[in-house]
Amino acid sequence: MTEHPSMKIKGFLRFTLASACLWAALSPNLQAKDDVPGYVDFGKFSPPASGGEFVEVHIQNNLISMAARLAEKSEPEIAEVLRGLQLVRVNVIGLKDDNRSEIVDRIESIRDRLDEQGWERIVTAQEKNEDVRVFVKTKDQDTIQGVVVTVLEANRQAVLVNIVGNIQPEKIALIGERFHLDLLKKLNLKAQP
Amino acid sequence: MNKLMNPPTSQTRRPKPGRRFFLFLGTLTILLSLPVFGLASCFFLSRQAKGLRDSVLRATGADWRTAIELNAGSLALALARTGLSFCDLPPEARTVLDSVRQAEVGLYQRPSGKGLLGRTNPLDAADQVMATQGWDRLVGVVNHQNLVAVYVPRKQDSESDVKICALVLDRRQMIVVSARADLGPLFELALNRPEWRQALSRRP
Repeated sequence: MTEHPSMKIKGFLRFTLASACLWAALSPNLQAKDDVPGYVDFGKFSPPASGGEFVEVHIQNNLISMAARLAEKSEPEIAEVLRGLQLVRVNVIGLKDDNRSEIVDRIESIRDRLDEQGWERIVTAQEKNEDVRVFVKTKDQDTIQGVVVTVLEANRQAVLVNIVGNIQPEKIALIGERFHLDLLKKLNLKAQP
Repeated sequence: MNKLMNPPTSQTRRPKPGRRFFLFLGTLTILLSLPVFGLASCFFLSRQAKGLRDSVLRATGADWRTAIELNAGSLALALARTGLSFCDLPPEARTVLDSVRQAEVGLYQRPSGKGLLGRTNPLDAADQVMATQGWDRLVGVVNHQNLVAVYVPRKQDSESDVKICALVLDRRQMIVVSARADLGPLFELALNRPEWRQALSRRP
């Protein structure tokens, strides 16, 4: 049975958040600049005034390098993947009446910008209340410089993920194998021809 | 001439009795004040933790009361390690104790449970104060009236001395935690826990 792309994305997001929590105790700083390939400036988000959900994770390269050094001995494959990463940013913003239209507009504008800037859209999944798009910026056939995941769950939340660095899709699959993360194993990050 | 060439006698070098008394008094004061300062420092937070606490106190404008403030520095932790070396502790607990170099916690409470986060944004206030001290927010979570924020220094390159500062806030209480630890052993411990492996393999 083929899995729906949105399921893959959810698994990927779960992995990203889990990684963020794991490295949270470990990590600091790349002054992420607009000229770093794969970096996307989402702008600043604030918690909804009416008190909805809001999550922001911002892991910069010095913490990622530290995590890579720590994983070197026991998990060399993971250390290799981490060494390639420069930045992981995750934003989850709860949608309420007071911020829904603004957040939806901002996400649409980010998507348009990525299209204009030549990012490849590798996943577009639209269901009743869910709209998922995944974009990648590739360097060559085997290397991805950046991944952006945008999810809009119409009445609940918006999710934005940006992973910056040299991301090798087969290495991501390797992590899936290593930790028995089936969804990660199947996640196809390769740009479509 | 000969008198001038002679080395000074031991009498001329010897400090005067009054001087000796003050020297003795000074040394005694320092020796006595060290444990007093050491003990007193256990009840004061570090600059970062204080900054984080004060920013939230100002942003919320609520009447917070200090329930407890504790700061276990390297000396206190070394004493704890020495004391606990005679106890039969699980190896994991000993690893954690050996890894932590400094830990501090502040707990504050307020009698009224009225809304806090709608008034101003404590996260922004905390971000500003921590940024001026060279700390960046790593994680921020806000859910209704609950807030969690984790900060790390902008320059932190050694995994053997990792600093972290965290804030947990809800309607009635606020907790500020700050710690310094060697992450190497903790990381090994986490990776070698069979439960973690099993939990990961159970994931979809």
